Formats: sequence, C-alpha cells, structure tokens
Amino acid sequence: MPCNIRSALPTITISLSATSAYADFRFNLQPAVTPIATEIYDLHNLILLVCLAIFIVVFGVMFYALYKHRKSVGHSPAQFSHNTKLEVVWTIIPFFILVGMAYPTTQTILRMKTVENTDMSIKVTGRQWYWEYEYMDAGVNYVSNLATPRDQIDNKAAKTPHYLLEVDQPMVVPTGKKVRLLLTASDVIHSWWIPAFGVKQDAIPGFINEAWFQVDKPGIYRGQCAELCGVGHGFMPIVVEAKPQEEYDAWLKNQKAQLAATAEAATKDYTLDELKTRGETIFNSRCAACHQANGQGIPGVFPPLVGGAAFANQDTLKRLAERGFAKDGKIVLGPKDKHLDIVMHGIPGTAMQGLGAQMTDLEVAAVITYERNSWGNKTGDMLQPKEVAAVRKSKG
Amino acid sequence: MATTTLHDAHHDAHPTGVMRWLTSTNHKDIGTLYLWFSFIMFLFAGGLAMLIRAELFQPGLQFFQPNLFNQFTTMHGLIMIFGAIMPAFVGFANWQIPMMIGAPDMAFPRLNNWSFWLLPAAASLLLMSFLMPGGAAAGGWTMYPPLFIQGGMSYDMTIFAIHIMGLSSIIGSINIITTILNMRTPGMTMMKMPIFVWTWLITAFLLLSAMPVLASAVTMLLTDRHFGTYFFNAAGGGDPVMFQHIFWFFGHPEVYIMILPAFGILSSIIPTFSRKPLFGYDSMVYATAAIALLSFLVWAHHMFTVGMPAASQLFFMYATMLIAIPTGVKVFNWTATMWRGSITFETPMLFAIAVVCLFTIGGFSGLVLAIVPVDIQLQDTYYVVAHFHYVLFSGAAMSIMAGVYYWLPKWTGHMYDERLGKIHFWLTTIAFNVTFFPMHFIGLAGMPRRIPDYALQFAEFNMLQSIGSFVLGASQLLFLYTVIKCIRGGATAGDRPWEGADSLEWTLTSPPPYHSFQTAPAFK
Amino acid sequence: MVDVSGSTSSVHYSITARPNCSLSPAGTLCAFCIIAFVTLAVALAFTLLGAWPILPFAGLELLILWFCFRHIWRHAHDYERLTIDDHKVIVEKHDPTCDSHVELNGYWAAVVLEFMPDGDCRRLALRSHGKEIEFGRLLNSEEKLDLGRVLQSRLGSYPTT
Ligand SMILES: [Cu+2]
Ligand SMILES: [Cu+2]
Repeated sequence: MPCNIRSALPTITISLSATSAYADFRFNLQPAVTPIATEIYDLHNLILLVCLAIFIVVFGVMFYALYKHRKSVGHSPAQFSHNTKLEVVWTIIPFFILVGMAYPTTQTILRMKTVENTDMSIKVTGRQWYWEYEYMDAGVNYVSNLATPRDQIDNKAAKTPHYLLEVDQPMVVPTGKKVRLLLTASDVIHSWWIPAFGVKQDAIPGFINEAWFQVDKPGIYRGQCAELCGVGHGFMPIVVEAKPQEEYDAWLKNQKAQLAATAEAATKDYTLDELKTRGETIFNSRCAACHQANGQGIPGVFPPLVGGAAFANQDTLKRLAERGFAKDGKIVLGPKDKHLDIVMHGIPGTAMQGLGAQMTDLEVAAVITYERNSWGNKTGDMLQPKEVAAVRKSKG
Repeated sequence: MATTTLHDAHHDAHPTGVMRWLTSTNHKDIGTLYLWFSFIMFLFAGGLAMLIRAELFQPGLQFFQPNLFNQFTTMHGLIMIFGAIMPAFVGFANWQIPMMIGAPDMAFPRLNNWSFWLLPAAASLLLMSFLMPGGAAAGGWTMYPPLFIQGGMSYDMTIFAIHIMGLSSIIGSINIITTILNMRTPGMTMMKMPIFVWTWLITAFLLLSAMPVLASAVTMLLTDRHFGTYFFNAAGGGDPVMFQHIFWFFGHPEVYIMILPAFGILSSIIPTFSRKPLFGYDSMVYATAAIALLSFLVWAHHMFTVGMPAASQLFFMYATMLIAIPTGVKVFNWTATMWRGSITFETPMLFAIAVVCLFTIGGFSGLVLAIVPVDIQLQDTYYVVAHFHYVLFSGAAMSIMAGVYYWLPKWTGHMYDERLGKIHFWLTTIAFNVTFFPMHFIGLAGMPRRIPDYALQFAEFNMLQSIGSFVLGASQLLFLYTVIKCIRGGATAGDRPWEGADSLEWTLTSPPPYHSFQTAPAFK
Repeated sequence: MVDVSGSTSSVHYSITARPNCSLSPAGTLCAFCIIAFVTLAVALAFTLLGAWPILPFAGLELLILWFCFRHIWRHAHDYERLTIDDHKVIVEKHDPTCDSHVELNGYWAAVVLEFMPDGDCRRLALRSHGKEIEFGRLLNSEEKLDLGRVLQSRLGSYPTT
C-alpha cells in the first residue's frame, strides 16, 4: 500500500498549524489544571534538574579525562586502582540526594491516595474500545466514542486539529468539585488518563479502582487510553469537559431529558431507511474497528458480516455455525432473533461482547437492520425498537 | 618421526561443514553460533522496528492496519529480548569465559550444544506464528491477560517458544555457573576473576531464579486459554493483576540479565584503552551483587497504575531509587579508571564511552520513572519507550557491538577495518539519539506507546524519529559488512592486539587453538 | 590437569591426570543450596498466592542443577596415574565406581594411539602380552598426543588407526 502523497501534504500543513496550539508542552508535561498535576509537574522539573546537575558534573570529569589524559598528548598512565575514601563518599552522597528526592515525593503520593470528602462519583467502565460513564448520584449513563471520522484515519480526508482526541459525548464535570472516579473494565485492561489532571488509573475487569481530581478552570481536557487493549487501543480517547456548576446542572438536566426522549423514541415505529441511516452511524463508531466499515472484518481475527464471505478461524466459525451464521467455512446471514442475541449478549470466548447494556433499543434495532441490508446483504429485514425491548424484558 | 605425522594428522581435526556446527560441543563454535543467531534475530526484529517506524512516519494509517501493527510491536519486543540480546551475551560467555579463566572448554559441552540448538527451534515457532490465521501474537511482549487470552493459535506458539527459550537459558546458565565455579585455573580465586566473568556468574544466578517464574506465568496463560483454569481470568474469579506481579517478578531481573554482562564487557574494554587497571574491582563486584539482589525487590514499579495501596507504592519506589546507588558506583568507577590513564579511541573504546554516557541517561530516566507521581504521568507513554531503549539499545546492544570489535581480532586472527568501525560507531550513536531522544518529549507531552496512529501535535517528532531509525537500521548493515570483512581477512592481529589488555585470553594465539587451554595456565 | 614428576630421570617417570576442580565438594554443596534456597523460596511464595504451576518448573530446574553438580562432585577426586619405574609400568585409576591397579612389564609394553576419522585422538592405551589398558580419559586430544609422544620415546609404539 503506497503512501498517498496528496493526502499526506494537507496532513503536514495541518499538523504544523495544530502544534502552535500545543506549543507550550512540546518539551515537557502538559500544563497542569489540578493541584496534583501541578505537584507532579514541579516534582518532575526538580528531579530533572538534579539529574542534569549530576550528569554535568560526572561527565564533565570524564570528558576532561578523555581530553587531557589521551595517549596522543603523551599522557602516561597512572597505576592506582583503589581509593577507599573516595568510594565511600560517592556511595553516600547519592544516598542523601535520593532521600532529598523521596521526601517531597512521599507527600505527593499520600495526597494522591487520599480519596476523601468527594462531592460526586462517576463510574468509568473501559470497554473494547470506548468508555462508559455512569453518574452514580444522578442516574445518568452514556458511552463516549471516538468522534474522528474513519476517512481522516484512512487519509481520505484532511485531519482536523483534535484528530483522534475527540469524542461524541465527553465526560462533563463541574468545576471546583472533588470528583471521585470508580474505574473498572468489562473485557480487558484499559487505563483512563487525562495528563492535565495527573490522573492515570488502570481499569481492570473484576476490580474497582479509585481516583480523584478537582478542576478549577473550565475547559476541555483530552487524554487517551494508556494500556494496550487490542486493535482499537489507539482509538479510544478520553475527553473531559469542565463547566461551571450552573452550566453543569443544565447539562445534567438536558441529559436526563434526552434519556426520557430515547425511552419514548423506542416505542415508535421506523421505516427501513430511517433505521439504516441511524444504523450506519452507530456501526461505524461501534463495530467498524473490528468488522471494518465495508463489513469485511479482518481475515482470521474478526469475521466478515457479509453473506458468502470466507473466514478461516475455525474456533470462531464453530461458534457462528452454532448460531446459524456459518456454513462450510463461509459466513451466512443467520436468523434475525439469533442476530439480535449476538449483538445483545455477545459470543462468549471471542472478542464479541454483549452490547445490550450500552446501547438503546433503537440503536440495537438500527444497527442490526443496517447490517442485514448493507454491503450486498439484502434481506429487507427490519427490526423495530419495540422488538428489542420485548427481548430485553424477557431475557434481561 | 611417527609422532610428527600423528601430530600433523591432528590439525583441523574437528568435523567440517554442517555437521561441525550441528554436533559441535566446542565452546568457540557454540559461541559463534550464538552470536550469528542473535545477529540474524537482531536484523529481523530491527526490520520489524523499521516497519513500525514507517507506519508512524505520519499520522493516519498508511501501511498497516492496527492488528498487524500490534503484531509488529509484540514480536519486535519478544525477538529483540529473547532472540537478539540474551543469546548474544551467551555467545560472549561461551567464547570468553573458558579463555578468561584458563579452562579448555565449558563444563558440560554436550549440554552446551543442546542449549544452543533449542533456540532456532523456538525462533522458528515465533516466526511461523506470523503465518497463522490472524497473524502473530499482538498482545504486547508483556502478554497481559485478559487481552492475551483473547488471541488465536499463534498465541500458543508464542507461549511454547518462550518455554523452549527458557529451558535453553536454564541449561546455559547451569553450564556457565559450573564452568566458572569449577574450572578456574589454579590461583584464580573468586576475587581475581575478570569482571566479565563475575557479571556473568551473577547473571546466570539471576536467570536461574527468574526463569521458572516466567515459565509458570506463561503456562498459566496457556491453561487459562485452553484448559478452563481461572488463574487470571476475572470472569471466573481469577486475578489479572496477579499475572503482572508474576511477570514483572521475572521481568525486572530480566532487565539486569540483559545489562550486567554489558557492564562486564565495558569493564574489560575501558581499562584496556585507558592502559590502567580497573578502578575499584571489589566495589564493582559488590555493586553488581547489590544490583542483582535489589532487582528482586522492585518489580511492582512497572505497575504503579494498577491501583496498589500507598504503602506498596512507597516501598517499591524506595527500593527502585536505591538501585541508583550501585549503578552510580559503576559509572564513577569507570570514570576513575579513565582518570589519568593514557587513553586511545579505537572503535571498542568509542562504543564503551558512548554506552556509559547514554546508559546513564537511561538510568536517570529510570530514576524519574521510579518517582511514583511522575510515573503515573509517564507510564505507558513514549517516555518509557525512550527509557528502555536507552538502557537496552545503547546499554546492551551497543555494549555487544563494543565487545565484538574488542574481541574480533582474538576470535578471527584479523584486525577489523578501523575506519569502517568508526563510521559504524558515529552513524549508530547519532542515529540512535535522533531516534530515541525526542521520545522523551512526546512521552512527556502525552503520547501513549503501542498505538498505530497518533494525534497531530506529535507529528514532527515522529517523523524525525522515523528518519533517525531508518539510518540506525541501515548502519547495522555496515556492521554486518565490517564483521564479515574481518572474518575473511585483514591485517594479522597478534596474540595481544591491544596494548593495555591483560586477561588470560590474550596469552593465547589469535585465533585461539581449538581447546583453549590444554593445561591450566599459570596465574599470578 | 596434569601433574608430571620425575620426568628428568631415565628410570622413573610418573604422570597423574586429574580434572581441574576449582570447586571443593563443600563449595559445590554450598552453591547448590544457595540457588535451591532462592528458587524454592520464590516458588513457595508464589504457590501460596495461588500460582502453584511454578513448583514443577522450579523442581525441574533444580533437578538439572542437581545432576550437574552431582556429576562434578562425584568426579572431583578422580585421577589416573601412570608410573614407569625401572622395568615396571603401573597404571592406577580411581573414580567413584572403581579403583584399579594394573602392572605391565616395561620391556614389552608399547603405546597404542587410536584416531577418529577426522584425526582427533580417541584413545591412548598401553599394550603388553596381548593385554591392553587404556589411559588418559581425563586428557583431551592434544594432551593424549603429547603424552603419547613422551611414552613412545620411553617405550615402543604400535601406531594404529
Ligand atoms: Cu487501550
Ligand atoms: Cu523494572
């Protein structure tokens, strides 16, 4: 696959202009906006300077020797090989320097670890490959996906300044409040990281980890998943928007209203085209990382969704055949109810996990309708949100 | 008369051709095999690095999809560590230890042959795994579950390959330990052994302690994948963090397994070209032992973000910081060795000086990473990538190059081409820094590691790094050429081509006889 | 390692070959115990945490180590001694499984050297009255050749291939 020069040029221009916005942290940590991140910033500078000083002294001596004690200037070698006093001194001095570094560090660690008197809690769940946020006190719950269009990643469109660092729905927090995060994951280990907050905490399946931050300056802060979690690891950014309390309250109210609207939308009937259009957006943000935007999957790893396509992973094929989705090494489109079951509950033992908990009835219905009527799949099948709701009620 | 004919018949007595290499139990042949094997693996894993850097040349996905990219990073790590760096040091051990302690060969020559030939078997498993459906393992060289449990067939092959390489390391270490302990020439007490022999003795001890831990960690992954156990699978009540503890309990000593023999090589080269005895031999030995002991107490510094209590974080931070002391002692000793010497700058010495400087930078970034709050920011970023390449490329790999230039005249009987050696040195050192120094900056600025595509503010540095890495990769071909040229001919190297060299191997002819020391040499 | 005594005398010559052991039996035991202690301590600690599969691996490793050290330890006191005293040739051998003492008549004893097809000296022996006794198991090919040369000048030779 040769690199496309024409698409590369705008990339470079954009990156040059984009960096000016980031110029202040090109050589150091990002500007800190929480007290902890500020302490980390200062701690790093302190240690860096100490190291630099030691480096200059030690290598100053070494390069002096290299220059002055060359054979080519006729320096004849001394034969000493011990100096106990000197050896003791250069063992002890570093010890005291280290103690000097450890003292402020210990205090920072203890402060980082004190998760007390928090004002609100957000449960963060890492999933392959997006984040889910649950506002525990407000009953609001949504997922946050990468918002960068696939075309930009594939170099078919010019990259926008926040390329790969933008999401559809950011985490929103009020300024000046101590926010507690409860982190976990549903599949593999992820790590939630906002550099400007000084928070990086692994989200581990089966565990709940804690972290906290308090932002005083309103703004949008960006980070990325920091633990290798598979194919989409580079594509699950984290964006936090800090708003003043009133704006936050308004946002929360709006969020609740949207939840109610979604509930109502689920009772409506939709046409095939409406479902397909909605389904395409959802598919591209949720499913295309593995199954690809053209539905062809990745050979041997992620099965294609197109009827008649071949797939070589015997283990996965077996599980698909059990559900009526494969025959003779080829993918076939199985029955609608099984399709719904796979999307809702996943296929245990594979990377396909149940999406039922994170998607609304309408989203599930739309994405299945889209899959059954795209890339040469022409079943004409439709799935209405009501049907999804019925299954949800009976099976949970 | 009869005797003379008998003696002539004996020359070139060992088998030749393929059978010589397959069946050889001679420490020099096996050393050569180890070194060539590791060099081939170095070029292969280096090639993977070139592909990684090609994809990262610009933002966006140009050449490889993320799945393939992750296979490259995973295999680059595994092959460089287990295929290139470790076998290269075992190659040095095979060549040098018997010659340095005045022994005819290794203690168990037959075992020595086995421990080498296990390696190509393991390497072919790893290479073949690229051909499996879904490609090679893509879960990172650290193999963290549950991600590593999700993969296909190639993941099992990777696990088996690690088993085999572990067995090879164990047999090799036992052989090295018994050789060093039991076959020293009379008069060479422990505290008179060359430092290179000391560092390998301690390394072999570390290997024996760490390898069963690694073997069991990957075995548990295997049973979790196929036999329904739940050691690490949270879905069945297992503990994914447990794997990280076990893995890094192996992993941190592994870091020293790859750096202690490098210290040994530096401690051989620096006195030679300073024409002065090594400064502080005793403290060098104690520092090596101290590093080895501490290496078992610091493993969790790789896991500061998994959510451990403050007390654990503090313990592992303090222990990690302590390692700076014995490491510092070594750097000070090398400096004092050069002080008031009579220094010349042949290629081995140039490499050795560069290693001391660059390794120290890697040591300082290690100290920065030991500071828990700073590590929280830098964990899993390019800062870490910069750190371990300063330690493993400029620490371990460049020491290997220094050692090759240093002992090549002894091994082949020819001098290498000094001019080519120096060009190789400058290209490597400059390109290395262009490649890896900016990684500190993008790591600080927040670029995670192991991603195939990145945000736009990292673009210029990434392009610069890619250009540096291509030069770095290409200059290793010059190294290959220089070595081959030296093997095939060149100025005759005397028994002691370096004026300041004084360990036992320099009393042998160049190249040395088939059995190094027929009778135990006199040792002052 | 080879000790030679009396090589200047025309009537007395004695050569003793023993493996070069810089490690005493006590040192062997000590080295094994240190490694075993560390390996087992690590293995037991992880077993207590639930990672029991480390035990078989640690066991396997210690088993290999044990066999290697046992081999060294058992053979630490091996020696072979060849004495030529006037007209007597005495070959003594000592190893963990047997002690032997063979006397040959010096006037009739001759040196036998056998070679591999590639030229390595495989075997050095003394032959007298149809009796053959091997010597030099602890010597490498070159050492056998050197010794063969010395003996040939003192005794006769039967070059064989
Ligand atoms: Cu991730
Ligand atoms: Cu470590």
